[in-house]
Amino acid sequence: MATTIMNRLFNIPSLICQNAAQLLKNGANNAVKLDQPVRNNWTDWRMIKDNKRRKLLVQHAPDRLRMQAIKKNDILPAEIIEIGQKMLEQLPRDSGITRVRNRCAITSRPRGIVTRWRLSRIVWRSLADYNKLSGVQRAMW
Amino acid sequence: MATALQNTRMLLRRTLSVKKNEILARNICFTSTLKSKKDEGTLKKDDEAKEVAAKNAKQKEAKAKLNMLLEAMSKESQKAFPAESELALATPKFVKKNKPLKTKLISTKIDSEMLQAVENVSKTFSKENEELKKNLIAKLESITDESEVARLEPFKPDKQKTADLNSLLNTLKVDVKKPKKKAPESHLAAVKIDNVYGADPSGIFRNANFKEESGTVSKLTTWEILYQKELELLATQPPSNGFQQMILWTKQGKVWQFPIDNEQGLEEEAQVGFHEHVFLEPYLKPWCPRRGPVRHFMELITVGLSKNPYLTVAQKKEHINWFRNFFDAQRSILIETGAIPDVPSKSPPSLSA
Repeated sequence: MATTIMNRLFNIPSLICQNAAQLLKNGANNAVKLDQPVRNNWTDWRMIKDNKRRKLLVQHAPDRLRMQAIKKNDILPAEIIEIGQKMLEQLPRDSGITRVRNRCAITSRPRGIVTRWRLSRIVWRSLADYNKLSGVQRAMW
Repeated sequence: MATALQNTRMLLRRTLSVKKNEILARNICFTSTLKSKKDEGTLKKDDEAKEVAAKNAKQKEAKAKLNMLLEAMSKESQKAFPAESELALATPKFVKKNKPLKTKLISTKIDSEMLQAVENVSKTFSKENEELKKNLIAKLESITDESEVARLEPFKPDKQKTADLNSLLNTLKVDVKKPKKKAPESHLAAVKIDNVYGADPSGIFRNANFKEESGTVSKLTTWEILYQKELELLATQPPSNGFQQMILWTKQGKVWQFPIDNEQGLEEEAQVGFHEHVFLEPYLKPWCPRRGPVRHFMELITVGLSKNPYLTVAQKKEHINWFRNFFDAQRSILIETGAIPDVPSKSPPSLSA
């Protein structure tokens, strides 16, 4: 509990920058309560972090693409490439696509995901058995 | 208050007239029976004449009875009297209901309210108060006495009266329509307004001083937001079944439309011609040098963009512009390394110089 509180305290400056829009909104109550657990609509923290990464990814995707283009070419002079490299490093790490993990939307399971439905195989199977997935049938041949 | 007095007079008359009618009816009935008994003992001619006379008499009596009873029954006779008072007073003109006064009075003495009413009537109607008051009070007292007497006696249905009524009704076949039950009209509702904006303004609020809410009151914005949300929720009903849910989603545009079109939602992009996507060289023309590594690089970029069907034209332009800005910032380094020909620029800043 103490670690989470300290985390909340230390992350405040970065959090302020990132959520400036929400903070400046009129009527939003942004008081940090340190004596009770934070409530949210996600299954677990890993899911929340993954969600943050996805948002950053969307935000920085164009910049990332351009800088990668500069970095990964051998036509431009080396100095330019170096500059491109450094610019890429300046971008937040969480904006990289490799950091995003396809998790189950319900259980946040990182492995065994059925991509089309974004569900873990266990959840998928239970829904399929109750006929909640369109066009999904028990295999028999 | 002239109407009030007239109304009271009418009421008094009616109560008295009912009694008169009863008395008349009784007399008429008795006379008819007496006459019929007499007819038996006389000669034929006399009999005939007397029969004819009796018939006529009976008809007349029946008519008379009818009229009396109808008068007693009718409630519309009040229309003969003007509803609006002659005095121009700002009082509601209410239509008094045809209730007998017995039901209101309880004690032999007249109620204080009645006395007050009597006083008001006498005041407004005439300046000779005392006589009017006395008359009204006397009448009211007599009525109260009668009502007291009637109350004390147990009610005995008068067979004669009911028989008369029944006979009359049978002969006449009166269609008694059920009176439509009007909603209990309030005194205010009976004010008849012909022209709403015709009258002069009353000037009641001319000197009014309405206090405005002070602006320094702190607003509870979150509460207001939540209140608005709650109002919306109260007004809109959530879908009660799957059909309604699908209807709602279709209206919102969330549902695939059949036959399935893969580019559903991209109608705007579909109108943009392919030439704008593919031919991006004009965007390089103003700034990019015609030869050199920069050009080579940008050519590759444009080829890649032209082959990309997932970006909009605006996004592609944005990419190219970013590179333009980037190379513009690195101009010195580019010149040092020899990527750009080093020529002093007279023209506006461009890499091609």
